[in-house]
Amino acid sequence: MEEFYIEPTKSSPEVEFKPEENELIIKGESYPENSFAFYQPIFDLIETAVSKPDEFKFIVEVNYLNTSSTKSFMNILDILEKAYKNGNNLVVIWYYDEDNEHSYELASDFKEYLELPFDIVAK
Amino acid sequence: MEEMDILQLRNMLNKYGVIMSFTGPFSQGIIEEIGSALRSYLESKSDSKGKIFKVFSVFIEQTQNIKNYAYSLSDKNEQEEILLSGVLNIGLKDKKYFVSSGNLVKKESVEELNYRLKKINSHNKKELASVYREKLLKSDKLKDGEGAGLGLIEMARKSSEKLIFDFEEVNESYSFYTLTIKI
Repeated sequence: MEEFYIEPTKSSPEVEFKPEENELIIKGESYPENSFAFYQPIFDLIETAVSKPDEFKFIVEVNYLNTSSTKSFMNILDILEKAYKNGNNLVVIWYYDEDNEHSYELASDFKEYLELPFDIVAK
Repeated sequence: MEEMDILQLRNMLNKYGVIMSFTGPFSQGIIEEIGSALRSYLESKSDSKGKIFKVFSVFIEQTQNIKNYAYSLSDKNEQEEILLSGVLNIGLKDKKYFVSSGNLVKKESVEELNYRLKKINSHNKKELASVYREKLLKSDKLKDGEGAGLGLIEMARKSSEKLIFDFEEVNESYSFYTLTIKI
């Protein structure tokens, strides 16, 4: 797979895929005008990445998601959860801001829905 | 033609505790700029990060709901009319922040919206959390503006009181819809 990078803007996060590590990083805040259009290439990338059995890491450092970005994240995590249940080796590491109670809630709300390994780590 | 009395307008905004007020078409750029200004202001008042995010999040959902509603209509003139009608006020009254928005809605949209708002208000916080979860997990079909239903529920979850809303008939095509959330 190839490298993939989206620069952060005020309303959209930085997205980086590192093919050697098979690692996807999403960092920043997310409330873009059209969140499904923004996340579609990321859905596609993850689908491709988990189609192989290699270990996959999803690293998140996001403190704010609007509701349509939340739905997009749910979609990403759904893809990962399915792959996990199919026997893929993958992990989610979610960094939260200790000073912001919503930041932890955001992560723990997602974790609740999932069985895949999901670490919530203070940053 | 009578000149507009700006001082009177300012006094009126003051009276209701309005900190920021905007009217006109919300572009994504304007939403981002007002959002940043709002956050800097709240930070300068040393509100907790949690509270700042609550107010910010309600502001984002309110403004994006107006845009999503406008773009859900197929008629370009109607879209424009609705976007132009948008009004947004953020303020502080009786120690509570409020985010108040108003915009035109097509008359035929009123019944459904009114029903949804009433239904949301009939739920307590725990029920709202489970309705939110239900909607979030039903994400097999992702479309633009589909977050809108989720947006109202999210605002209700962040609100310290019930949603305050009203519809007022403007003409044969439109009503004016107002929504206030107190945080």
